[in-house]
Amino acid sequence: MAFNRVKQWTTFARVWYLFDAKWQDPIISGRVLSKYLLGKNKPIYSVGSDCGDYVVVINSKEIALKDDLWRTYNYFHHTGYAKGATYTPAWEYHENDPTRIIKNCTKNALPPKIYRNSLLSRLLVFPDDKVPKDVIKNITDQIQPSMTPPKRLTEFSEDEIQNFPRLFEWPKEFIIDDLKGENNQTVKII
Amino acid sequence: MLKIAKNSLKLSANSCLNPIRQISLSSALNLKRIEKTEDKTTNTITIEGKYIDPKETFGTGVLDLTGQCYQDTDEAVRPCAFCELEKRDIKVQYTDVLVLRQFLTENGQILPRKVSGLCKKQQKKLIVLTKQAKHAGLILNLQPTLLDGTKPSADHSKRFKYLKWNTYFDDYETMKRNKKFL
Amino acid sequence: MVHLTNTLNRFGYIHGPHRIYKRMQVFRFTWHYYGRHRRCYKLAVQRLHKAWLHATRNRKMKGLLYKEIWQTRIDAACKEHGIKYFEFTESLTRQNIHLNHAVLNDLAIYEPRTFKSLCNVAKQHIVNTGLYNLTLEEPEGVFNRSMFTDELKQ
Repeated sequence: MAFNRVKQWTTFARVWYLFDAKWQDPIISGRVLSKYLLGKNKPIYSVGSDCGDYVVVINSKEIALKDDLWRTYNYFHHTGYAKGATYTPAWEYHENDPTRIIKNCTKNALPPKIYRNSLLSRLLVFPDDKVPKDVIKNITDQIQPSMTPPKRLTEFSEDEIQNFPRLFEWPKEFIIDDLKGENNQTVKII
Repeated sequence: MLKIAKNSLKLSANSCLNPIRQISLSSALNLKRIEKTEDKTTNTITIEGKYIDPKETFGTGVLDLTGQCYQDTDEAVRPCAFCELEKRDIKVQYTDVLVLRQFLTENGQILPRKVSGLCKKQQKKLIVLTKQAKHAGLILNLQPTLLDGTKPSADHSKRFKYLKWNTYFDDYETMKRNKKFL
Repeated sequence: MVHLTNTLNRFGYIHGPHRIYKRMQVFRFTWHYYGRHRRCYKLAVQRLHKAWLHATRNRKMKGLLYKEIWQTRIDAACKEHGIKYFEFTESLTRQNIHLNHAVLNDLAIYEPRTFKSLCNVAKQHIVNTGLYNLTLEEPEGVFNRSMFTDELKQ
């Protein structure tokens, strides 16, 4: 078995994964990414062995939070001095640095050990889909997203909207102008 | 007697504000739209109810949910569209924008139950779904006109503070189970 | 019985073995501790007894910890073939394939082809019996007993 040497190189080689964070929840996707960083996606995983992979995250600007969390969720920071506590809401936190929330969520999902920072150095996050060439040429595989992104009404073409089957028939006796609002003078029905 | 008189006065006062309802010369048997035209040369205003062919304006492809054509049956037998879909394990969510827009006007108002034919339970659901879709910014081109007469922009990135980022919601059924609403 | 040593001891010649030998027994176990816990006897004994208590307690935990690692390994290997861990194990036990966690772990690492065939057997069983509502691709060349259940009953 002269090729056992090569076998070991290939098993312990690091794979580069791509993850599209469009319309993804950072808390859920952080749990997924942490598994790939630790190497739990491989059958050769053990606690001591350093068999984690690289993960490249794109479109981190377009992550989605649940319900009203952009307004209600606050990030806490204390300067150490008296009255040094600051609370920044999540939308402001995301505006300053759009890569920061998804990094923070993966950090919280990883075990609080000393090797956590070295694992996080293998997580590369980009706000847009503009990725440097040195990074993109290594990528070989893709992590499947958990949620399907919804489509806005403006993104549909007119043919698609009109060809979609209607669910109800209009009544025979009805005057459309009865739907008039208080401020609006005219009412148009699509 | 006084009470009845008062009520009748109230009714008349309300109806006076809405002059269109007072006049009903043409027969009310067709779907129609009232149009007002002014001729400045002769100083005349003509108000006429134009008939609308629903097949031309709203499209022809209506789903046969009960298996029988609607035009043959009476209006009272008309089924609730959402309930018929739920029997087939299709539950409408806030992301189904093409379905929701059928129940809305161009200003984003919800059509009354008389028109859409939904039952009371599903109308409650539709109100929640439209709220979620508006909060998530999926139907931004259906918004009321401003006082200037212009419409607000449909670009989601220009919205107010926390509204400009993407949001998502759970299914309506799971939210109802957890008793959580926006 | 002859007790020669006791007679000598009466005159104060022999006081038993020197106490260094007792201490050397303890220091053999504490050579890798930090600070005065490795050098001073009084501290070292306290630390050693506590360590032995931990060792007896963790001897049971060792099996559980190994099972956790095996589960993550088997789960990772199952995901490559499109099914989950609990679906895989449940369908194997229903077919009377009683394989250990330790054996499945070894198969997942060193014999991936045999593990793939086991996954195919599990998939075929789920498709035939309808254990879970899954949309799986039916594997080729697998014949299960669950295929012929209707004929056997007749």
